[in-house]
Amino acid sequence: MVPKTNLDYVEMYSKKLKTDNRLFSQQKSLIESQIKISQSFFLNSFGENFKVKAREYLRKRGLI
Amino acid sequence: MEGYYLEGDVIVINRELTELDFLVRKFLEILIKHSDYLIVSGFVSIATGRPRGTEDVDILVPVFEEGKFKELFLDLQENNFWCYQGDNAKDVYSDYVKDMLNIRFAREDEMFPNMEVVFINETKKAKYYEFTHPQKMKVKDFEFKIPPLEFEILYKELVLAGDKDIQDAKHLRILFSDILKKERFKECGDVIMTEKNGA
Repeated sequence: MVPKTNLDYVEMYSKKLKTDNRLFSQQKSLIESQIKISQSFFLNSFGENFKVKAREYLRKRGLI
Repeated sequence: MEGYYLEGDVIVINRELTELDFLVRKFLEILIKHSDYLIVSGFVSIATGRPRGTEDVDILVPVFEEGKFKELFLDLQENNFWCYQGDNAKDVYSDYVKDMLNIRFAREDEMFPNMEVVFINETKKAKYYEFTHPQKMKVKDFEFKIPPLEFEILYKELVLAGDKDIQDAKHLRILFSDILKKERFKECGDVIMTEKNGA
């Protein structure tokens, strides 16, 4: 199968994952790098008074 | 080695724990002292291997009366979680929980991922169905409860239906093709469509 669409790639990946759990190590790296980037970005952006500034940001995004 | 296997009725995902798992596990350790729960949506897909990030982890929780909610809220604060909606349990209860509006918690000095608490009761038929038909899943020593896989797949396909949801559903259909049950699809589909059609 030659993947063409996003769903084709999902299919190929998920089929492979059934029998090869080594793919999980790449997924772990991806998840953890995103969390680290997010932690670093927001801590640097808001610094002290984190919650106050975070809530201002959340209000602007319509999340609270 | 295989991506998952069964241990009795528990689906064991054959991988190492991630930072996301540690966050969810910590939150659940506190939550289960006060309430039952069910993890739904994106975390189910990610826990089973979808290579994508998430801003939140959705958790169904039966709606609280005020005193019990305050105990949970204080316990979470004492364990370094902060609530997006406010620092005062009484205010958060009266402004959100009482009306069954979702609230979110994150670790101190962090924004994402957050734990989105979705309150339910018996009037929310589809959510109540999945809540009362939990599937156990385990990664290493971290065990947690998710909806029936068939429900999760159909909910993503029929209700949420965004690109990300359709991809998540496809992933679950393929990865778990050996254990998905046709009769369970029928049962879950009936529940979801009944709610979707407003019956």
